[in-house]
Parts: sequence; C-alpha cells; structure tokens
Amino acid sequence: MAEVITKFLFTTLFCLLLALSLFVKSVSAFDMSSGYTLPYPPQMPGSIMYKVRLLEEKIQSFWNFGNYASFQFNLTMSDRYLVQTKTLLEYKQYLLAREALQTSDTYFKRIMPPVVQAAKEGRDVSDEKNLLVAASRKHIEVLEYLKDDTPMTVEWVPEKTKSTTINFNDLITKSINMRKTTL
Amino acid sequence: MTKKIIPTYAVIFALLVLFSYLFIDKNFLYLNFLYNNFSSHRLLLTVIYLLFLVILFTFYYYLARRTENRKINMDTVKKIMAITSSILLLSYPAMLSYDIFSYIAYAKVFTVYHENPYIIMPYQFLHDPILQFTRYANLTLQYGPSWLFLSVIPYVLGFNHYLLILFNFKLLAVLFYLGTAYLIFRLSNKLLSVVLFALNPLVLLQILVSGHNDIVMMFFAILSYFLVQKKHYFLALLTLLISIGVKFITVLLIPIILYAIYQQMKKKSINWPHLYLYSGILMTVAFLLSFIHREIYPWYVVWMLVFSVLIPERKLFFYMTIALSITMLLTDIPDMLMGTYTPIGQTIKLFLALSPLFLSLLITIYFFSKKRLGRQIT
Repeated sequence: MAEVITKFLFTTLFCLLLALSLFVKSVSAFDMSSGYTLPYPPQMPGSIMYKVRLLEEKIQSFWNFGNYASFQFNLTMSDRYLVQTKTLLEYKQYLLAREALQTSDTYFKRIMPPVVQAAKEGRDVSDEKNLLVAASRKHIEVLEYLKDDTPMTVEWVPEKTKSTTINFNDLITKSINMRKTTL
Repeated sequence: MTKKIIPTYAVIFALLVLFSYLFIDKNFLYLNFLYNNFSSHRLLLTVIYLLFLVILFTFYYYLARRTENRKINMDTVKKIMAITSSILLLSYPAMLSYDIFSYIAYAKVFTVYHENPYIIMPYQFLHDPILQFTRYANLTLQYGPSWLFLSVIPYVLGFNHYLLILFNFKLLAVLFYLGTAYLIFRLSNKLLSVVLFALNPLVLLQILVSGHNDIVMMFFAILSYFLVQKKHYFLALLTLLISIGVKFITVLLIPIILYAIYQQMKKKSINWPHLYLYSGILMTVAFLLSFIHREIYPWYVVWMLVFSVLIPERKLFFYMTIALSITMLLTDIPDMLMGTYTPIGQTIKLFLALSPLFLSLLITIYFFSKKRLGRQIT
C-alpha cells in the first residue's frame, strides 16, 4: 500500500513539474539590445534528467504552434543543441557531439519557413528577421571556434562495435554555410 | 408596490446603460462616433456612479426583504432577472474595467492568428487596430485553457465584426449568470438565495455590465457541487476541472469536493451548509492572496458571494460578503475621480477591500472569546 502511494506521489510530482516547465519555458525573452546570447548548457546525455528534457522538448514542439511561437521554439532548440555540441566536444564525446550538431542544424532549417509564412499573411516579421540574423552570426562565431578547436577527422572507436570516422571539418563547414544563407 | 418594481428597475437599468456610454474610450474606434467629452467631468461622473450604487443597493435590500417575507414570488424574480439581463446586455462594458477587450484580443490571437496565446502576446501584432484600446496586451494569457476554448465561441460567432464579438462576450456572461442563479436555486431551494445573488449590485455591474469571466469559473464550480449531490461523481470532477481551467482559483475547492464524494460513496450524511461555508472561507483566502499576485479586484467578491448566498443564515460570513460588495464597488471611485492610478488611490482601495474582512475577523474573535469565557464561568 505504501509502495503504491509512493509511486502515485512521485508520478503526480513528475507530472506537475512537467506541466510547470511548459508554463515556465513558454515565455521566451530574447535580449536584442545587448547582442545575441546563447543559453546555458542543458542536461547532457547520460544525466538523469536528459530523458525528461527530451520528453519536454517533444511536448514543447506541440505546445509551440503558430508561426511566431514555432520560430522562437526552433531557434531556442537550435541554440540549445549548438551549446550541447560545444560542451560535448570539450569532453571529447565526438559521436554525441555529431548528433547534437545535426539536431541543431535540423532545428535551424525549421526556423525560416514560419517566418516566410507569417510574412505572406501580412504580419510584421522584421523583429524575427533581425533576431535570426543575430543568432546566425553568433552560431557562425561558435562554429568557427569549434572548427579551429576540433580535430578535422576523428576515429571514434567504441567497445565491441565497429569504429566510425567523423569528419568534423565537413560537418561544421556545412553548418556554417547553412547559417550564412540567412545573412 | 411590487407591481411598480419591474418598470422601476427597467428605468434604472436603462439609465445605467446610458451612463455607461459616457465612459467610451476615444480610442475605441468602433464606437468613437459616440465618444463625448463627458469623461472629463470626473466629479459629476463619480457622484452619478455613487447615486446608482445607493439606488441599486436600496432596491437590493428592499427586494431581499420582500422575498424573505414571501411577498415576491418566483415569477416576479424571473421577470426582474430577464429585464436586468436584457437591458444590461446593451451597456458599454468598459465602464469600470477593460478586461473584456483583453478576452477578445486573446481569442483573436488563437483563432485568427493561430498562435499560442500562452506564448505570444497580443502586442506582438503591432498593426492590429484593437491594440489602441486593449489593456494588458503585453502579457501572455493569464487564464486557463477552459476559458481559452470557451472564448473561441463568441469570437467565431461574431464573424469578424468587433461589436458583434463584444456583445457576444457579454451574452456569454449573461448566460452563465443565469445558469449560476439557476444552480443556486437548485442547491438552496430558496428564492431568497437567488435574489441575494442575482440582484446584488456588484454582480450586476461586474458581471452583466463588465462581463468578467469569474462567473464562468463559479458556474462550473457550483455545478460540481450540484452533480455530487446528484451522485454524478465523474461529471462533478470534470466540471470542477473545467472551472479550475478558467481561472485556477477553484483548485482550492478540490478537497471539499473529494470529501463530499467520499462521504456520499460511504453513504454517510453530509452537512452541505458547512461545506458551503468552508468553500466560502477558502474563496476568501484566495481573495486575500490575490493581493500578492496583483491587486484585489471588485469582481473577485463573486467567488465568495456564490457560497454565502447559499447560507444566508450564517450571518457573519454573509454580511461580510455583502459589506465587501459595497466596499469593493467603492474602490472604483478613486480612479474614477482622479482619472488615473495614484498611490493614495491604491491605499484607499486596499483599505476598502480589507476592512470588512478584518471587521468580521474581530467580531468572530470577540464572540468566540465571549463564548469560551461563558463556558469557563459556568
């Protein structure tokens, strides 16, 4: 009986925290006056809260419907995964870093279409365009730094499986070029 | 005298409707042809407003007394309510509060712009003309999803005509007002309870004129009590959830409803008047806590009033809510007189809001200590 109650309380607490995070994270504030700022590193793969974070991102992807909200969401996610890439590279977690960079690129590709759609509907998107330009410049700055700081190719040799060659030079160059198209 | 009540009420409310149009904002482009400079005569407007309050409360007291003495029947009350609702439906809603314009703005963000109003604020649509007269457009939606989905209905049925949308929102408030009055009658079985709620000047001005959504929240809240009494427990919890989804306050009523359901399921007797009293006290706590969040607004009294009219025999609590109905309507006077928010005005408002509560608390403490002292002596 005690076990059932404990499980119920933990499940309720978990659901409440998840619901709260939707409202806490719903309002995003971008500081445009003092230059673009990337977020703090998020929960990393391997941490207890990483799976919670992934679930929260999935829910947020549905919650952030509409052109303006999805623009903000995709930009936030792209920023977040870029910072995750940087952190993972610092810890030499190259395989996870490649995945994070590819995810950042995927979200970055999704930023522009809602802005274009909003413009077609006659809405003012000048703030969004300015923000995107500032974000792209910041991303390029970080990626240029990573390009200099990361080995050009890495042979990732995990235990008991085949090795993988990761060409970071190509990956980062592709990411930079993607950001440059918005400038 | 009773025969003259209905035409007299009709005339008073017709005059109130005309008075409300003296408060038209000059930026309200949909009715700016009615804009007049009368709003600059602040003292006169305030005096007229006070006069209306005196008249409305006098009639309120008179009708309550006559109902108590069984000199007014259900048909007369229904006619008065019908006239009240239909006339006040035509009043200009932004006489005392601009909230109705915010309701429309958030509904527009959701239905027209297809954006999430919990993330995107109305002011982000800078070229929208409704921003000229909508207050609090720089906030995300502060209400729950129940209200958001409900507000879509009057918006969509307005077919993009702002005035039609505006009066649809007022009609929504009227319908929930009538529904609440009906539920109060079903719960209490007393015509007096209906009169005490439906003809309370605070309810008339804040719900029928201003169209606040608190009536929607309270309708679903007391509907859950009604459904528990009818042993529809799942529906009762669902309607309470809908109520919480309007404005969150009624989350405090969860323990009461759960307790009532539990008692019913165990086939134990329930002292419903006690539960209404505890519910009213919980709503009073919420009323006080609203000061921490922002400000205690007059329409928050509806939260307690709905329960206090069910138990008018609980004189202290009942008279406290009536006193609050009077003092909270007076809190509009400093802003009306000065034309803007001032520190002294805020202090006066706080004093008016809290004084009936403190007075009730002092009276409770006095009678409680007197009782204890009496027991000790015996």
